[in-house]
Amino acid sequence: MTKQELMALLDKRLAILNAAEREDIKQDYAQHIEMKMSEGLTEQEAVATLGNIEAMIDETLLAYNIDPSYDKKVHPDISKKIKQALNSDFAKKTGQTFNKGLDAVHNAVRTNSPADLFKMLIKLILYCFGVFILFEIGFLVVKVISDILDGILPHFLMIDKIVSSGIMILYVLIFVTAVCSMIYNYLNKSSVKIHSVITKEADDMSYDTNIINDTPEAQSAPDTAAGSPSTGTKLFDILVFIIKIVVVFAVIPGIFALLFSIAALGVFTAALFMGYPALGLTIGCLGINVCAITFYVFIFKLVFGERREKNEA
Amino acid sequence: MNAQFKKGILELVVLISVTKRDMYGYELVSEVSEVIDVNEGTIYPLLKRLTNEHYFETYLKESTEGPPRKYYHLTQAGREYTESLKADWESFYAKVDEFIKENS
Repeated sequence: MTKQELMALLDKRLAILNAAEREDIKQDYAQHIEMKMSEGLTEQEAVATLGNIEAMIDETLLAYNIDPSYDKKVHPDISKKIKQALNSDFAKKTGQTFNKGLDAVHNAVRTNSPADLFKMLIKLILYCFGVFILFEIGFLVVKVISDILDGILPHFLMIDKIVSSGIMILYVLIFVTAVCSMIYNYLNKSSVKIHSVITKEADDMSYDTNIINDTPEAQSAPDTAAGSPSTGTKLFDILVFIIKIVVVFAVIPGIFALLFSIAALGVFTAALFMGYPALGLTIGCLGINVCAITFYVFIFKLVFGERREKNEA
Repeated sequence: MNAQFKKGILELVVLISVTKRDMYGYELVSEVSEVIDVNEGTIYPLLKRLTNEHYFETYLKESTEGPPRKYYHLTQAGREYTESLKADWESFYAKVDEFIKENS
């Protein structure tokens, strides 16, 4: 170990001490090494006279009544806990459910005709809307009950803002979980016929290959296209993967955001007419609505544009 | 020599070294490591601990060569502590010595 390495190690391990103390300790060792070197030792040998560096630093920390393992404990324990959490049954089940959901979306997109897909989407939106109304009713019920209780027994339940927002957060969590499972079940149900398609994977592959390799060569020479089905399937799988990602991370949350912003727009418009200064909020909501609708039009165009190409092919 | 023996007695040797006169870190470490064969790295943390416990006071003094040196000075508390350690050591040594002689 060189002197510089020792100084860096001291900086790291003694980071808990105040800067003046740390500098003082570093100065001691630096001087020791310089003295040893002036006696003719090399830098490495001079550092070696200090013996076990880790033990020395541990002892130094103990001189300040600091547990020497203070900086070692934190990280391994957290990573261990993360590993344990990842290995737990709960995590595995959650992962499986998530994967099943993805597969369901994958299959639904892959096997349904555009018209069916559109119907499904409309159904989903209606579902979401119904669910949203249920959510609003539930929200209202919770609020009314808590208000009534607060009216009858003021301060008895200690319903202040923090407690009520805690209840709301809990309610939202339960609700979101319920909605997710509903969507999952719905998607699974509507893709019952998929299993038969999966068994006919080979036929599908050649079909897909023709669509993706929609180039003159593929059309003029179907034999070569059949010779390289893996490229087409891979491309198709990548496309499906992208669709999956978009559905999970943008479309489903986006539907909620859109519905919420529509409701908010209504509320703010009403407030505006009642004389509240809600002009900015109303315009903001209108903006969000326009953005979201544009986004969905874009998605629809993507889906239908692609399907039309397939039909032509 | 047994590492635990050394560790226990190191403190006493360090304290006695500084009783005669104030010494700077490297000087003290060199002297002590001649008496007890320890890694010199084990002495610096000990000096730090004794300083934190107010048995030592430190002050900087210019030296003709190199940077200013940190000198260790034994406080009154340090003197009393040294005396009690010395008494402990002597009675401990006497008892163990006597026991060894009786049994050998």
